[in-house]
Amino acid sequence: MSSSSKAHVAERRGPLEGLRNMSVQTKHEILRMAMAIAIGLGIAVVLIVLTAENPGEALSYFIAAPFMQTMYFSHMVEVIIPLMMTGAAVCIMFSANQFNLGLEGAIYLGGFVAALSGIYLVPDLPVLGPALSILLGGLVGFFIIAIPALLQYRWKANIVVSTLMMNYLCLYVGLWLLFDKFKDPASSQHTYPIGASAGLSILVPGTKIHSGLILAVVIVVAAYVLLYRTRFGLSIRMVGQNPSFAKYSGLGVSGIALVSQLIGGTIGGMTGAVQMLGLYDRFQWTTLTGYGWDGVTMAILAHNNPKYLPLAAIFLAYFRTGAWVMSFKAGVQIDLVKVFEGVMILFIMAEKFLSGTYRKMVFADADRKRKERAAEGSVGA
Amino acid sequence: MEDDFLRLEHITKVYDNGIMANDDVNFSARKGEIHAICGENGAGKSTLMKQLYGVEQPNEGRIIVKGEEVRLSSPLVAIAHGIGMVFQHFMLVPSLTVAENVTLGIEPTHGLRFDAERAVAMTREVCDKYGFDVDPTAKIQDLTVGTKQKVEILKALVRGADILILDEPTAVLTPQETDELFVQLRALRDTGHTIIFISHKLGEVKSLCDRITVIRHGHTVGTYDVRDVSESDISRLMVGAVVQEEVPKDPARPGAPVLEVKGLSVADQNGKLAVHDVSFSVREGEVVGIAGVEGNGQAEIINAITGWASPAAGTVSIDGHEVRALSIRGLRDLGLAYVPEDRMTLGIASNLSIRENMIAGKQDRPRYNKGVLQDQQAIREDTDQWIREFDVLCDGGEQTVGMLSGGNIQKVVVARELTAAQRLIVCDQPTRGIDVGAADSIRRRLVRMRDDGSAILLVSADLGELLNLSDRLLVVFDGRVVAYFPSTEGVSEEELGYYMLGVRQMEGQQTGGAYLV
Repeated sequence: MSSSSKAHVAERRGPLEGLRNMSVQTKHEILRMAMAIAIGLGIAVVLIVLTAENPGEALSYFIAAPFMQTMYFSHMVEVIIPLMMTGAAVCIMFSANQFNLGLEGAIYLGGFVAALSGIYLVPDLPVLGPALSILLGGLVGFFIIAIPALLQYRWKANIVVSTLMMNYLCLYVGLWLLFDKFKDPASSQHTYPIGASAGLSILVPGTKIHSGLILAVVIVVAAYVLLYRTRFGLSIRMVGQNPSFAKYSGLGVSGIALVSQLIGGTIGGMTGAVQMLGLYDRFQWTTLTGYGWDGVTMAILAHNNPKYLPLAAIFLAYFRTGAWVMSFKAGVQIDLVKVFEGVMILFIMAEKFLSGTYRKMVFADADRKRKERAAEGSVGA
Repeated sequence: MEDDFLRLEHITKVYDNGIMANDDVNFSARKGEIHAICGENGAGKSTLMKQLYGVEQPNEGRIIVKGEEVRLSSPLVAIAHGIGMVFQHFMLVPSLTVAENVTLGIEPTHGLRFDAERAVAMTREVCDKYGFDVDPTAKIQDLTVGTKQKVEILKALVRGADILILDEPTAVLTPQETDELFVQLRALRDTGHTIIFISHKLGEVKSLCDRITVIRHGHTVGTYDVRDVSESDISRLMVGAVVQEEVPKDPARPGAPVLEVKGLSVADQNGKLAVHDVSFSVREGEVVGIAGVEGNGQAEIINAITGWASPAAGTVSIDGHEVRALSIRGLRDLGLAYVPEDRMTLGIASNLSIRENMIAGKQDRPRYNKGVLQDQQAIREDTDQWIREFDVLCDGGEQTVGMLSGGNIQKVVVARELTAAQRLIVCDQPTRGIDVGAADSIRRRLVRMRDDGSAILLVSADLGELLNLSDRLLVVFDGRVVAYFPSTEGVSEEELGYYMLGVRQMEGQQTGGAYLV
């Protein structure tokens, strides 16, 4: 009896049915995300009301700025580009359960080397020049991440600690290079200008949206295909989900963990290059950029699946733009958006957040199925 | 008729993964009876008892103990109501003595100091009262499995339990230890204790219990006087129509040796030698079984064959290739399939889909790749076929494996391995937790693969399965081969029990016969 009824269940599920019968887990996860966002936004709104001179005006900027001016919209798209790229990098590393936090360093030096390439190597070569500079940036990211990743591979050095240290190493090496070797004597903290043809071209005239957007989209799609459509991606996810199982299945676990980080590092270096060549005319970073941490936020929002990165990027960029506009229009601190993001991530990461509701949903679902079965049974009889 | 002594009414329990383990279950027990709860693996017996012991809480239903409705929010509350439970996996501290374990949490103190003498006295008192032959000053790690189990029962009795739940207590015992346990359980019943005996060994239920409640697919089928039902009645009630039968098979036609284990010694995780000088071979077209009480070296032998441990001495080779020199990938390329005993740790990645778990380890095959991309269609076709063939109960191949019941997870593992390689198949408890019908089809498949020339090594706690499937059979005790049967014809489970317990032992030249080339 049981075997025949389950066969029916399997046959009845068409694609539309699948959408309607979204699993309880998925439904609950959506609910959890929505609640986390709502709580984060709620706190942000309260802070705005408390601190703004004109709360109504401040709120309107926070909620709707990207639609108010082309420049604001353009700013939102600029913000999306690095979010997508570092998000993809972290998704790949986190899918292998490698808590590598070294993107900051890779981005910083990747951007530096790309700038140098644009200044000295290919200042006058359009298209191919920027492409080469971005590749060099990626190469730098690859080698920077290779150091902690190899330390882990060979001697089991804790990747969290070593990558955090690595970030500062990169920053101080960069600062030394900038101030001691490559600074334009006429400026306080800038290099010489990047060549006129070495920067990324503007994609939409009248805005600052540059061709890095294309690369960002390509990288997100490639990351998705890699993780979910290739055998190596399956290997990465097997290692991430259960390394014993991966080993049992014949995979070289530490090798796969290593490669996943090298890919992430390469994308990180490229992100630095794209940012540098897309938005700046001279290298001038004297602190770490924060794009690497954004990648972690993105991967958490996207559940390590690059498929959800565009949505997560638009979401974050939207409110960051709002906070940015609000900060110069209504005098509210831009850091407010960090509070919003922090609170949201906190609730998303809290495993037991809404677990009582989950239990109730699971029970209700099982109860519904039981009644359906009972109804089917009485029809059959 | 004190039916109010213990009553569970309309209990429904849904686990977090959505599996409804109990669906409107009713159960009641009287004072001073041994009451069996029978059902297949996964029928919901353990879940029901976990709710009675406060480990899990029901979604719906009432629990009434001694006429009073109770909410058992934790084991502490359950113990306060006189309910004790002995799990299959013992919860004892190996480095402490019996008395220290028995009084753990209710330690008698002398000022701030632990009063060791009084702990021993308390333990001895309960031992004497109920006729347990246990030395309170012995360390747990030096005890046999049977004695450890007695300590678990003592723990409950010292805390004043008059309702004792035993979860498949005989699964880890030899036939002789089982007999001893039963004597004690009857004595406890006669002093007014209520014993709930979870089992699916029907012979034991018939000989020990007064009444029986049968559970099937999470529902109560009914409660019966044991006198009124025969073993075949019970098994029919348990499984519906199908009854486990012996798998028919022709005599083996063995060929060349595939697996050769010679003089193998293996250390366990603590560096202690767990396997001593074991030799045997498995040839093409035969099933070689290993019987033994869990923890007598089977796990280490299998680890040495499957590449998870290197031998301390001796050699293991597959088709002449020494295992020590090969990676796990290399072993798998030689044609090794391995159904591990611990399916949750080794056998699956629970957050990946059924398809991904079934394809794992085979993802490099040309059939599953089109250029750099995976061939989704081929993967879907094959995994759908395996889901049907191995009768995996699921909502479809995209479902994550963690959402399945234990038995269906096992089917996913077996399906992947038995469709992976055919040269040497190492099966550790291949049908544990699987319903009778599916277990039967897995056994038939193993016999078919044997007939097609696979070499099969089978480790199982199910002696019936071992005697049925094995062409040759070893018994291990304390890391040594203590018996070898060139044929299982006429070998009884009782006889195996004597060897498993180490009571009997064959001569070296007899056990040496296990190594055939």
